[in-house]
Amino acid sequence: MKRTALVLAALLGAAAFAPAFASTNDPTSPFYLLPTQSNGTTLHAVQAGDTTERK
Amino acid sequence: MEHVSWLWIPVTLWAALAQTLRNTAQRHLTGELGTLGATLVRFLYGLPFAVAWLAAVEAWRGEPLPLPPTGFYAWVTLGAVSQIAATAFLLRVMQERNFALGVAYSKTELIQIAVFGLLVLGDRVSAATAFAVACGTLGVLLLSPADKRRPLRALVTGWAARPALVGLASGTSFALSVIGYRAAALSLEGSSFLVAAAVTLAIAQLIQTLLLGGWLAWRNPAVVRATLRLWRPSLFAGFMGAAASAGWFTAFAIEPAAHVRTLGLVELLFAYVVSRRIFREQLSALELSGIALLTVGLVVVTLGR
Repeated sequence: MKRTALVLAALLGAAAFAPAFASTNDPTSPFYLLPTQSNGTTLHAVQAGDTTERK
Repeated sequence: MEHVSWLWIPVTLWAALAQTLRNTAQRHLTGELGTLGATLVRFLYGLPFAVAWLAAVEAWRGEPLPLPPTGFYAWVTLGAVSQIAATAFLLRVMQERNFALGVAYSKTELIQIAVFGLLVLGDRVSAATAFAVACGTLGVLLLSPADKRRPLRALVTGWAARPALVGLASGTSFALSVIGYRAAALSLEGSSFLVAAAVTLAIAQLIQTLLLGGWLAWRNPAVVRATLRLWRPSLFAGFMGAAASAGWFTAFAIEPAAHVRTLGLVELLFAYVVSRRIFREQLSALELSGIALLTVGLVVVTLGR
């Protein structure tokens, strides 16, 4: 039971984090994500090529 | 080109699911170790997994480890200490005769997160977010009412009672811990959100292990010894705890905490499924209303921000 839960959890975790691991600082990538902001404002994902922070 | 503003959603859903599993694992340990002992298990046995997660993220991203500024340590300490304080307040509430009132007041955590997020971090609260937070809070209050016959009146009339104030303090501490963790991750400028979240998690777990472990070793060393003896079941609880925290911390590094924690209320629905209550028993009108409001909150915060 515990082993099944662990395997299932690992698979679901991998699926949940896959897009996060695919994110990149390359603005041309579909998974472009702005790096952490220094001024404490929200970190936002943006469209490729769009460097405007969304609120 | 598709943007990835939804990225926090699967991570938050994962965190809520992992937390449900962790709570199930922890429930067995609470009987043997007490609440504080079981909480120590979460930090102590979660720490190696948190460090392993940081190493994995580091290896994947290939970025250098950030050199945290002083502010980072202040925020992460606030988060770590507040989380322990919140648990202690909740334990204190449980000792009160009218503990249901205190528990209900601790559920104002979500509203407090929205307020502190706005005041401390400037995380704006849109009308949709405010509505979702209100629905979520009301839903939670109906699922664990202070008084089953008059759930809202009991809250209004009992706000000055001692359990209510201690419960409120617990909610405030939980809210401060979340804001502290998000602020700590955001202070690691130049790092990707995955690395920032993983560093914050590892340091927070370390601080909590030292503080709670040290305090228990001083006041109740038998609990620490029992924690070490029960290493096998503790390892699972520690792993699930670290897995859940990895999700929460990552989501906090991307999205305002009020959004994350509102969607995180899905944990209550998972808990219903895990306990099989939803299949075994007929739910009361109060519970059904709570679940309905909760669902509205979850949908609005996901789609209507």
